[in-house]
Amino acid sequence: MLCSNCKKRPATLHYKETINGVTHEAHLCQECAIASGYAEGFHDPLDFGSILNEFLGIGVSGSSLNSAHVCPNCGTDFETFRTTGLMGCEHCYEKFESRLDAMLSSIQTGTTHKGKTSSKEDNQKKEKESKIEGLKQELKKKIQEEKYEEAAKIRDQIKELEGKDNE
Amino acid sequence: MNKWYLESGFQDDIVISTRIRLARNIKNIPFPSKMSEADGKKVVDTVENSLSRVSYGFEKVNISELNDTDKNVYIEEYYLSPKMLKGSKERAMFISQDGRVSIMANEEDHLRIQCMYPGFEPEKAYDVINKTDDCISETIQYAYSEKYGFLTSCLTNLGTGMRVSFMVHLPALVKTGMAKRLFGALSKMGIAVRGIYGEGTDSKGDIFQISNQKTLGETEEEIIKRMSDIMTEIISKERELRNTIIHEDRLSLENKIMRAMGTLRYATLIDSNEMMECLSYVRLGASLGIIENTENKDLTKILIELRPYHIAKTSDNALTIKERDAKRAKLIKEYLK
Repeated sequence: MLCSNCKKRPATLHYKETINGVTHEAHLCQECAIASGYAEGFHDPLDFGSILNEFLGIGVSGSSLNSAHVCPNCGTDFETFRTTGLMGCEHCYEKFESRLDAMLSSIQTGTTHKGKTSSKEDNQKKEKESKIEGLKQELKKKIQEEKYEEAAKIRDQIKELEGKDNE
Repeated sequence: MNKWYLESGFQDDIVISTRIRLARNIKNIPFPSKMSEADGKKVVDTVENSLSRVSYGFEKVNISELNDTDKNVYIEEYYLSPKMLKGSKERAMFISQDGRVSIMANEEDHLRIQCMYPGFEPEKAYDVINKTDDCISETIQYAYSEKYGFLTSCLTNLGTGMRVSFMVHLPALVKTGMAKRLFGALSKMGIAVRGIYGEGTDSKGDIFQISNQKTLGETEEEIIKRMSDIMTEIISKERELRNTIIHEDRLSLENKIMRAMGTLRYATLIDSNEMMECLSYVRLGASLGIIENTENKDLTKILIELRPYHIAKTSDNALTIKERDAKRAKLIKEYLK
């Protein structure tokens, strides 16, 4: 959707107000929104995101409120999460995943978990890891013995197992 | 029920307590900030059910049934966090018989499992909390992802969900002016230093809480080891400085310590700040052998049981400030007998 004011840039702010039954809608780009004063009121002085931005120097951008940034399970939108710092449910993590790494790398040691797992997964993962480790040893041996065809098969097996890891 | 602070602990002249907590959420239930009344009740019931299978018994404390004083007494004993007083959803706490393990249901996360030991005991505390966590996870499926680990309301707890926290008494580091430098260095290493009452509080009586800020990207063992190594260094620096101070001017230090003991023993009115200052000198004196027949655990007991809400609980009527200070002075005498 193009900005209803300049009709050049894409609209990023969608504003709707109903006063005494009369509904007024505006779809504006950032520049026109600022120029017309609509952008005011969207600046929360205690904005979690801007605090992170300011102190940690990370780029959490975009303030457009649309369905792409709302958790389908609990209804938490990214803005609310930025402001409160709280996820609404486990599914928020999937929904906001693309924006989390930048935040996590500023506040955490790493961006992926290395510790204890919930028991079921623990066993599966450990099993897989030891299987891959065993195959890697075998692969080394086959290469040393110059049995390249067998080595290729093992390499494919490792790839397949490791591929499952990223699913 | 027993309390965590009643026994002696390893190096407890410096490390008052070791506390480890794990943040966990139950799969398929929205986190506390987004859950319904029914969800809240479901969480409490699920946790209660799960704990009934743990071999050592748990006592349930229904938060909404507690009066204001009782809630704050639990906070002063570090069983409850101040956050547990806010919000309207059903909240409960479960405490083990030995008083070392406690679980808050529906704080910022569904479960906050905590283990507390007197003294410097990170390995022991982790062992106990890890086993408790394993027991619970046999009946409760946690919200968990391969990539992010245990999923928590706040990103600052993500992954292991683990916070290791030491309450330490560092009078020599403070008096020599080295504490500030040390805390600056610690904060650069992702380690938080806070006052005795937790987040946003000043230090009182040279007591601080030192904890890891980062929970994701390292294993639990790595976090424990890093924190233990740092604590070991802080402890040895504090001991070294205590020796320096006492060798530089033993008489002056002895004078301050004995005067502090005198105030605690003979004052008839004493406010919380003065008590904390005196306790700091007395604890230092006991550690250096200047004060005899006073154990660290007794001093820790005073530190906790003579906080404002504990004192309020000893009286049926609301006390004026003066009455409270008089009561405090009277109780200290009994505790130091």
